Amino acid sequence: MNKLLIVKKIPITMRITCLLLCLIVFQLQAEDVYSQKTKISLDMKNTTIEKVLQTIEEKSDYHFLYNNKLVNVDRKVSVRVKDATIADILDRLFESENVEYQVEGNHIILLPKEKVKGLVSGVESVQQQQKTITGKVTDTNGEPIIGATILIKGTTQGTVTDMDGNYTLQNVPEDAILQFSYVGMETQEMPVRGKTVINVAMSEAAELLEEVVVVGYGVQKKVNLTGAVASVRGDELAQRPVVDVTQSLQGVVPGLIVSVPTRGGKPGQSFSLNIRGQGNLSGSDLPYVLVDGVEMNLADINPNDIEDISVLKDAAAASIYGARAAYGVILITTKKGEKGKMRASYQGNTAWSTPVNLPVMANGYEFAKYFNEGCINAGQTPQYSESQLAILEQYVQNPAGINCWPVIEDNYSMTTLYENNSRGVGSTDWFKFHYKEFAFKQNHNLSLSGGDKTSQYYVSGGYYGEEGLLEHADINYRRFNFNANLSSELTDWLKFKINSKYSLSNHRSPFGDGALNEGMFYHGLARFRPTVSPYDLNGNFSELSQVPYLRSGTYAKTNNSNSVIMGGFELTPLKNWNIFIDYTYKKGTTDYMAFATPATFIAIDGTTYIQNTRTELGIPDNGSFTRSMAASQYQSINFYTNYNFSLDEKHNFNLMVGYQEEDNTYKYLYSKVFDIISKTNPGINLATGDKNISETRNGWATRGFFGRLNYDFKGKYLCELNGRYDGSSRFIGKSRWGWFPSVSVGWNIAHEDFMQSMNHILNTFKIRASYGHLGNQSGAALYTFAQTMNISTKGTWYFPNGRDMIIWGPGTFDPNVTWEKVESSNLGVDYGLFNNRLTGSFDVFRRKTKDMLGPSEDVADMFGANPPNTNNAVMQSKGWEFTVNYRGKIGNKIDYSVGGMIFDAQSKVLEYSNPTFTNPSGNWYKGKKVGEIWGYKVSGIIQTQDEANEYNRVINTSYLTGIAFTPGDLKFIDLNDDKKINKGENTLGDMGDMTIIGNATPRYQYSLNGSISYKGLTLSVLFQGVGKRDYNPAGSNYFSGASSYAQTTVFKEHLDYWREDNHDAYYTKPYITGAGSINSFIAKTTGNTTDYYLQDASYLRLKNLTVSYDLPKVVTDKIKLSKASVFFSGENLFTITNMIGFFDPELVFVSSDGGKNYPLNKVYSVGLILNL
Amino acid sequence: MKKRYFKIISSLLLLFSFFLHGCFDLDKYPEGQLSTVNALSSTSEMEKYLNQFYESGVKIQPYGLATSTGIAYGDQQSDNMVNSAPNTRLAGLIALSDASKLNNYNYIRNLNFMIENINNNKEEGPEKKQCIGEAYYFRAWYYFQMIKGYGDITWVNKVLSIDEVKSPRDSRLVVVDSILHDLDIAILNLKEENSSATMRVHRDVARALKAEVALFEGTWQKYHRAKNDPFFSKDVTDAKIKNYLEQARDAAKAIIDRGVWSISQVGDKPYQDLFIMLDLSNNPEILFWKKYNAADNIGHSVTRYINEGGGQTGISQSLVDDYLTKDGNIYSKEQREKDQKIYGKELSPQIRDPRLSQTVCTPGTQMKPDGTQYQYPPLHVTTYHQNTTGYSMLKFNEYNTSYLPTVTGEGKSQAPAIQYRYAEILLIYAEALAELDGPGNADEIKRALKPLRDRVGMPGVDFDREYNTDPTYPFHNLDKYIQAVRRERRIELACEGHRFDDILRWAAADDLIAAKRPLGALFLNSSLQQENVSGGYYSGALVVGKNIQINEEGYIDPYKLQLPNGFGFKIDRDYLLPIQQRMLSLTEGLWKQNPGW
Repeated sequence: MNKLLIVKKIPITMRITCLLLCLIVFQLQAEDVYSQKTKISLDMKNTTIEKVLQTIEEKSDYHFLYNNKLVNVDRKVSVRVKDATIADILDRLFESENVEYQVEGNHIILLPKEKVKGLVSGVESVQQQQKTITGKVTDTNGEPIIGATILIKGTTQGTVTDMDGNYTLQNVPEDAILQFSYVGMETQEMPVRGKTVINVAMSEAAELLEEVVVVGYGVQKKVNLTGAVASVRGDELAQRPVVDVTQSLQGVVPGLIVSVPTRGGKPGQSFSLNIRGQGNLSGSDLPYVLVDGVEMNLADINPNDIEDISVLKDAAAASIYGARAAYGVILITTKKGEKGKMRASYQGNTAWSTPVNLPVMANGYEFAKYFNEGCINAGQTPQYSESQLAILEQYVQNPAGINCWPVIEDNYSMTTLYENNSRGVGSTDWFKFHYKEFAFKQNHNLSLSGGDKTSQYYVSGGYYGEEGLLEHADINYRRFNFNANLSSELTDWLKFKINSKYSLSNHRSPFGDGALNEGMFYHGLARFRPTVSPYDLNGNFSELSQVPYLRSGTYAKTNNSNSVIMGGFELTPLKNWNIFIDYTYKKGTTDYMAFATPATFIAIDGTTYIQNTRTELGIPDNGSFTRSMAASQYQSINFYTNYNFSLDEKHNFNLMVGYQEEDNTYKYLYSKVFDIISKTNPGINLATGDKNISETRNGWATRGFFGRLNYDFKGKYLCELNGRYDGSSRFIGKSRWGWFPSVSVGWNIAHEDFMQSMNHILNTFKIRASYGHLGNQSGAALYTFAQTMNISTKGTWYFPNGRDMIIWGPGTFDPNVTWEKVESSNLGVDYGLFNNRLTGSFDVFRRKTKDMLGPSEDVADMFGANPPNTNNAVMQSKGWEFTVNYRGKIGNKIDYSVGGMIFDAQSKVLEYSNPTFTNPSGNWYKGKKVGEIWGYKVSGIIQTQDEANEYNRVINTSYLTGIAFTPGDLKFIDLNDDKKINKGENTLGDMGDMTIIGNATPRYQYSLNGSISYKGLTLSVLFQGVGKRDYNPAGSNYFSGASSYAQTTVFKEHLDYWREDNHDAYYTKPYITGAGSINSFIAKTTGNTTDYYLQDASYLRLKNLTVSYDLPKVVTDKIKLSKASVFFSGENLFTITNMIGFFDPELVFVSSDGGKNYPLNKVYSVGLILNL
Repeated sequence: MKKRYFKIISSLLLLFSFFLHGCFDLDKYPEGQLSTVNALSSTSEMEKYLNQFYESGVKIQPYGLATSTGIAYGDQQSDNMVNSAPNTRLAGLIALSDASKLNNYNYIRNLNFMIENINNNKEEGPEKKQCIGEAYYFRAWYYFQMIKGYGDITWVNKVLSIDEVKSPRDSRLVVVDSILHDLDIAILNLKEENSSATMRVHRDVARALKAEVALFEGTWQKYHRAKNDPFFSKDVTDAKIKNYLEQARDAAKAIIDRGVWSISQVGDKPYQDLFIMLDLSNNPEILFWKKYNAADNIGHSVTRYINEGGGQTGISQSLVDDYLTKDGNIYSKEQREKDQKIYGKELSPQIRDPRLSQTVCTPGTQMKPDGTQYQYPPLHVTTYHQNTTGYSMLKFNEYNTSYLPTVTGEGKSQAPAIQYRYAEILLIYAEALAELDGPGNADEIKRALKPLRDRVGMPGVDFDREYNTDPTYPFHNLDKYIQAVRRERRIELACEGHRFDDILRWAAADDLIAAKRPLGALFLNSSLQQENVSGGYYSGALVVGKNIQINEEGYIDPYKLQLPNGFGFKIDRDYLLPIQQRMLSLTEGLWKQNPGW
């Protein structure tokens, strides 16, 4: 993304990194004292003063300092002098202007005349006997501030600091108060009170009024924004020990919902992003992510390269992206080079991660007792005999000398015979067995930047490496990033820039296609009985430990590489008219290889044998080798132009129009071969068995015309119009093109004259409103106008020539499918009080998705297919966001800030074709809230046989189960009083005894942050949480513990179950029986959704705590660094939640069983920043 | 001023050149893929398209534990086998909330898609006709499965649009007639084959399905009408029933008359070996079968679970008792009780129909390729190697496999899934004859069944000798022809997953299932109990009333605690499955719920 041209032309060399558009500063090195000595010649016609000054800078060694708001440097002049002094030239340049200059060292400061007069007159009008004050003005890092103004309060008497930040002010009255001011810094007042030396450390202004925010195809002053845009500085996120910014954005941007992805906390996992809640029913409501204007995956971006992030949330902000941006936009701007000497910067950290939360399994004896009880409850023979129980109990107490493998019979028994049965003795916590205490990760980044007046560069490289937490499996992730950009002025009106990024990531694990089945591995961890030892008779890893499979040499490796090259021109044919043309080429490749080979076991008799029997893990007998390559190529051409002008100095206009084309192609080749000749060097050619090959080729293209008009009246009344006309290859005929306009208005009330009296308290008060239309094409198929027929290379049937290919039946389609149309409105307030120390905003929004591609409506089974997605539904999301931040100071030394935000969004279906309101718990219907959980209400656990008898007599429960209720079962409430527990007609009007008992939508997401710093030592914390959310664990054996024989999973929490001596138990009576009949039993307990077991998934988590220390300047100077700091940081340090102990409130929603997944990580890190 | 113009003009030129250069094409089409445009326009495409139905439109062997379904475990839902957990349907424990979606309509839609697009293929000839025949065959197959489960359903013979789905249930008679009509078209188009070697459906397979469907419907209507329960079609006539039975007879006879099929005599034990032979392509008994190859990960798990005599299942005493003696007589109660004192004696081929000892393990039977022999049923084991009845299944156990993972590997068993074998055709033929006119067809029935008896060295059928009139024998009220045919069917097809369908169509659940508890072998005072002493096979591990239940007479009674009142099968409800409630509301009441639900 490009900032507006004005920004590009600012050569900033002041030590503060300021974003000020208004301040244009030139700096020039020189050795001399006075401008009179240097003589230069100039011959310039009809040139801006700015140019002239630049030329003087080039020809002399002086730097000019001025504020372009106070000094008009855009005025055109002609200068023709020979061997003139700079003073002469300046006199001529500004003779008709209110401008005076002062020379301080090799700086020439240009100031409006009144000011200088004041300064000078101060010197001249010495009346009383007064004192001279000297001192130094620095920033908080101790860097001198050049050109800071010091005024005696209430007078025009004052001075400015020299290039070392020193000042001398004479004739200061004893009772004077000195005002220190500098643009971008907070003004400070210091009473003189007898002092003769007053040193001041200025800190950056709490809220920079003139802060600019990156928006679509440009930048805007924050004060002029009318859309809902949040922005985050990149360096606020870069220190976190996480893989990419998706994780560090959690709790940072109001309305941005960051959630754990389906793969859990595995190395290298990006988190999922969503803006303002569920936007449609097809799951295609992802935000549009652009990095420097190019659609990219955040996972491919080095967090250290990020300059800032803008999140565009409403239609006004996003509609310039039309059909790609229905559910918000995230704009990332990366760092660019700056003029000046080369700067080198290193940032790195090393970290140790550990699982946030692992379940604790019952020990072998507890498990066996529990299991027996479950069997007895289900009318089954208990599996563990008294003598087995005794051995298990003894083993738990002291395993020494106990044979873990009694009744072993033959070599076959060493294998899967110990699964799902009561053979064996042991007490294994499979989670503890398979997870490490700590895994290592590290991150290193180096960047170089610099340039001269015409060309600037930024080059960076980064490495991120993360090891997995699995003890016996090699699972890790590495990423390399390289980033280089260059911009160069070819002429004064033509600028060339090129921006390239490359990332390479590789992921390795024993899981994948052809390798071990990952889901089944985690599933196995939970369900394997603790009564089996992980070591077999000979002390080798047992089959059930899964270790031999993990170590068999099986692997899956994924290499992703992404390169982006963007080249372009910026033209300025006329003042205030800019043209941008750029071309982007992006290539992404995924190179995947997986080798699967059976595990080697050692049999009882010492012989080794190859085994692949755990086919749930998917290993073929003689091995398989899979290799696939995917390549996507994206090209885009953008050109846009803007022009800004003012009428009457009151009416300010900015007009932008542009055009974009995109083209994407995707190619994929897959091959898998069986019966591998060489285990050490597997290859597609080195196989004797079946060879499967498949390919995919597809593509899409879009074209869009867009424009924007900004208008403001004296910065008080703001208005913005946006529009985009988009076409997509996904649609055909009249459905192809869509028009997406938006309008937004703002009113800076604080700028009104009648508010001037409030200015000392209220600095910012702006009301914004927006309304607009957006489109979404991503839910639609690539080719909505034809239905493809899928192919399988091989079926499971053997024809005479072997397995044959299969052509599958076509799905259904609707050729009239078109865009989803999203109508979005937003109303917001920005406020800033007490010198903008207290700032924040409040927004309310509504987003209505019309013509939504609903999941196919439910139709009678005779249709024989999933009905096609059609634009048949309407959904609405409503919500609000509130942020508040306060920056304060305790004394002169301690800076602190506290802040918080809370937001909420809820979505509801307004239209959906389910006219009969059938099956409201499973289907969508008009009026359904997203996340709705339907269930039965339960009054508790039946305690006595009499109570059970009475319940069975009065209530007909045959809908749920054919088995009578007994003590220890749940007592379902007959809500509709018909003496039956059922779903009624299973329509909205008659759901029998079912009702809405909760909602899985995360509500009231909030975060709290704070930081406090003292002399370079800073402590900051970020808490993040969800205020209200429900999780339905029904049917999960991970939750229920007791289940069918093979699926029973017993954790410590499960031992609190109902039995005669534990009537207050949390869990009902366990039932354990065969898979065929277990449902009839658990229908009485954990099998049905009930309010009794609904989990409160709200939580508060300490997401990050960082302590950093900046080495003092005296130290850094000695080691020739401009900055050196160390920091310690922790992630996910603690969590407060009401969920049952083995659930993680963030992870539970992404895995079907709520826990069979790679856990989230707690991370401890130590890091270092060194700047040259 | 010149420079300004130059700037503007060159800027515009640059812009314009981009405009001309850009322009990626907005028209994109699927590449390298098949689509609905001119679909299935060659015979080869049709054939590959039909391959999908060989995935789902066939019977398979069970992959998982004994609770799963498939050929070898199918009879657990019947009086032939007993799983450790009672079958929910037999136990009357299916809840309305368990009703499933009618997914067979998905396959039917895909078949209708092909049938509608047949004319896209301009090629003609026997290959195309074969494809057409297969399409009709499979449509009939899927409809037949639905008829068996749900009774009346809606006949759909085109690709429906969403607006066309609201239609009522058609009478099962209409649907069955349509199925038979489809099969006639299939028979007309399919190739005539003399073996199963093409591994595709052929004319005799379609005839076999036709015979099966017609016999099913004929007997269903006949026996449910006789019981006057809610499950027969009210407008059915004697003539209609007779017509179905005749169609069954004729379709079976057409296969028999071709004279190319015969009963397999391959191997030492041709009967037992038939079910574990890895290649049946040229076996004269096999019309149609599915091959497994576990090295290719196309396998099942039957052997893994039964090769120690367990599998959490067992053969029922009722089935064991139904086998005739070696000389073709009813196995009398007196002799039985005497033989049962010594475990396994009653199974001996010296005493009983040899098919018994080739279906149920006898002591000394080889169980595994390492020579492990069967001694006693693993009643004391608590794992999936537990046996529930004292009778262990032998059929399908690959005792002599050379592929060792079969023995313990999940998904590594390879016993074929036989779809139709000639024996079944003979049994259908015999049953249709008996139902039509037992006395008149007596000789023809005997002739039809003779090859089955001959294979195992049993005497031919003698209706009088084999007639069991014992009042405790469930079918003692049937005439001797029908009784004999039904017994022969039960014995020959034991544990192949036919029995439950038979019980349904014979309306025999009241005699065989409802309120009955399946029993196992004699325990009390038998050698089983004698082994339950120190040093014996069970060495005291079996504790009656605790981990083994027996009835008053001393027989193993696996469900004594779980089902004290026997199976809860509701004879006015459980002959058909429930329809999902959503179907009733989605069709706005055009679909009604099945009786009793």
